[in-house]
Amino acid sequence: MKKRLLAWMLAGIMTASALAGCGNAKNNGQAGDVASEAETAEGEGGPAEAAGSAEGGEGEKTVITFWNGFTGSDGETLEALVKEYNETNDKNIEVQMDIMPWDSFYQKLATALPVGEGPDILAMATERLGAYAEPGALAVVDDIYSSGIVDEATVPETLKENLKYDGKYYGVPMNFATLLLYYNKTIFEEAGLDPEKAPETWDELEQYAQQIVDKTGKYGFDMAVKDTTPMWCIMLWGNGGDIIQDGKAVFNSPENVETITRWAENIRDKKFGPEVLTGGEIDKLFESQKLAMYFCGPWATNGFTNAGIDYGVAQAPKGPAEQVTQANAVGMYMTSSSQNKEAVYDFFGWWNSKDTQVKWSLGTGFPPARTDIADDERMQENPYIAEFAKPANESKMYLQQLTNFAEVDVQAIVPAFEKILLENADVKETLDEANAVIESLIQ
Amino acid sequence: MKTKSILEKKRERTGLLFVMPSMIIFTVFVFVPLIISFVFSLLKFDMMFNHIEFQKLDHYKKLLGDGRFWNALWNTVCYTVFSVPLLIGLALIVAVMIRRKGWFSGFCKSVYFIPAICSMTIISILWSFLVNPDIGVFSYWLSLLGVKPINVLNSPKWAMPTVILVGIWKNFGFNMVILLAGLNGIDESYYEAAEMDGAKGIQKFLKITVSMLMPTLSFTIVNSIIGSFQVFDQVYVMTKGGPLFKTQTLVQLIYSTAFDSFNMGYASTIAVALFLITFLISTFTFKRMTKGEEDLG
Repeated sequence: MKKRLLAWMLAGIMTASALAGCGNAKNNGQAGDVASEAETAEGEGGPAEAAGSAEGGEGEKTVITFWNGFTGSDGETLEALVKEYNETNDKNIEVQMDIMPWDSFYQKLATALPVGEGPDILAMATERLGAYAEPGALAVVDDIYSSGIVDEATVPETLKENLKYDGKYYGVPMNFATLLLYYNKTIFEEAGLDPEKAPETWDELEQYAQQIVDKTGKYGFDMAVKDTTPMWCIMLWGNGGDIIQDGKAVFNSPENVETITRWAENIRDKKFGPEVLTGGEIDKLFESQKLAMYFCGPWATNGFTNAGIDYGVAQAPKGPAEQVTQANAVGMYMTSSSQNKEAVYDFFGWWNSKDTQVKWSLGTGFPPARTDIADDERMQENPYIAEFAKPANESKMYLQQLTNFAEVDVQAIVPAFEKILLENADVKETLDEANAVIESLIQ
Repeated sequence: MKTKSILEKKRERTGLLFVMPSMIIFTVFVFVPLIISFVFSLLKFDMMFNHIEFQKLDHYKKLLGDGRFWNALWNTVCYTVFSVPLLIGLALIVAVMIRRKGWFSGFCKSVYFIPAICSMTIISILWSFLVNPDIGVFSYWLSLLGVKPINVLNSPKWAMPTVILVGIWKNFGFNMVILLAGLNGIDESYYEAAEMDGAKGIQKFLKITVSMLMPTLSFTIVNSIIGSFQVFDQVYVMTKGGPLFKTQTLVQLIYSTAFDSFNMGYASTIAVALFLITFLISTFTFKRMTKGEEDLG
């Protein structure tokens, strides 16, 4: 009997690890279709064999491994670029890339990094940096900037601070994105709205959404809460609120209570859209033309264009306090276990070169992670790039520099929104409670 | 004591060789991790195994006062209490109905058994689509009936029942096949004898079918209880423990503590607690069931 029990225990553990390959990732809208493809792109050559050849002579190949979660349509561009690097670099370096869904990526890191089995390079959202830099899983890369391999002056200002932890650089830019308001022109026309004119203020946004709901029976506007690039923070900031300020939780500020009350009523009571969506669900709603407006990043443009949706993008509507949107970035980091510093730096440098950045931007619609090429002529080919690059200075990044970003999000913020939207809980009380949880988590 | 003959020694060695593979696998994958989990549960350390601190029983004290743990335990118990009787009852009824030989019952057998051999992940994804209020076929049927579909997986009230339903839908086929095997082992003569004594249908079912099935039933019951306590897959895929932690089960809590919060030490503590709970409950159930069998004998 004991044996059976133990076997089941084990089965539980094994299932836990085997199952990680599902679910939706933060930075990709239309992940599902490409995910399976990515699974096959196994690149676990392993640091051990790579390390052996690191110091080798000219004839020997240096293999560096690179893990990331670009399972969306941007993954194709990434694969093409890495292939190009492998074929053209003159140092005989081969980057073996392993793309997996973000959540299995983070889970894999948790077991691989402590035993030195991690990749040489990993790419992840900057808000996750603290969790890995603090315990020493990542290497400090100050010297890549001081030696000029990556030009510090071209890194966007908002991003620069968040590639650092504790005052030291741990990463170089991989991408940089802002959120804009996507709106469906077809639905706008159905509702009798001008398809070329997006709402510019909160009032207009409310009015448009109401009109769409009334006239077409479709959803007007919505914001996802879970497993998503943060959307609600755009509203919080727009009204002068924040979540954490100067190391203190300010989630229950009067501004936030006002903001959340207003938009929760819009979504929950006026039925602007379904309550508590995940990032994947809200993308699907927009893609199936059931939702007229939502915030999303540049990674969705290719997918929506291919799906034949007539959509436009516009700056986030201006809040009572300021015009602001959310910016997010993925950085590339070198693990502290990597034995191939030179090769890694070479790849980092190449990735952040003008040419590569232009190609990356054009392929994905991401604004370049360099400040000096926005005007590059080649950029004209993709009209969305300029739009997404525009709010760079009117954008903020969400919950950076924490060592437990995921915990704060999962334990405090998401439950607060769920309570308010699903259970109609008192906004002030719920935020007070969540604020206390955040406070206890960031101590 | 007599010295062993060469033949005996050889036989022993052969026996040992046969047991070896499973023993090795067992040690490496079960005993060692179990001990490691217990050791981890007493320690606090960060992701890179730095700053290891001996916590004594602090994690266990924390566990007792941790609302999330009790919530997860409650959810797991609810899941088990609702799913096990249905898993067994449904399996038994269907097994009795299709025990006759013939192509149709063979066909039914396969139909009910197919979900049991599919991956829970795939089934969970499938069901997530089926019940999706915007693109799901169930929601479409409901809307044809004029009922406004709700997002069950997002509703604090309906998420758990949905998860339970999916678990039952997938797993009862497994129990059914085992019970069918048990049913086929019951000799026709018992029924004939009972009929001669004037037993009616329901009496025959209770006194002969259920009684004779006791060993098989106790296996499926214990098996289902253990399985229910380990429920994770469909929760992870369909709800991630949400909304509002209403479907967060113990294994899901272990997962999120370990991989969202990187608190391996505390996650191990919950795992040890889960082990103890499952161990006690299944031992108790098994004892009760086998006692029942002895009484019969």
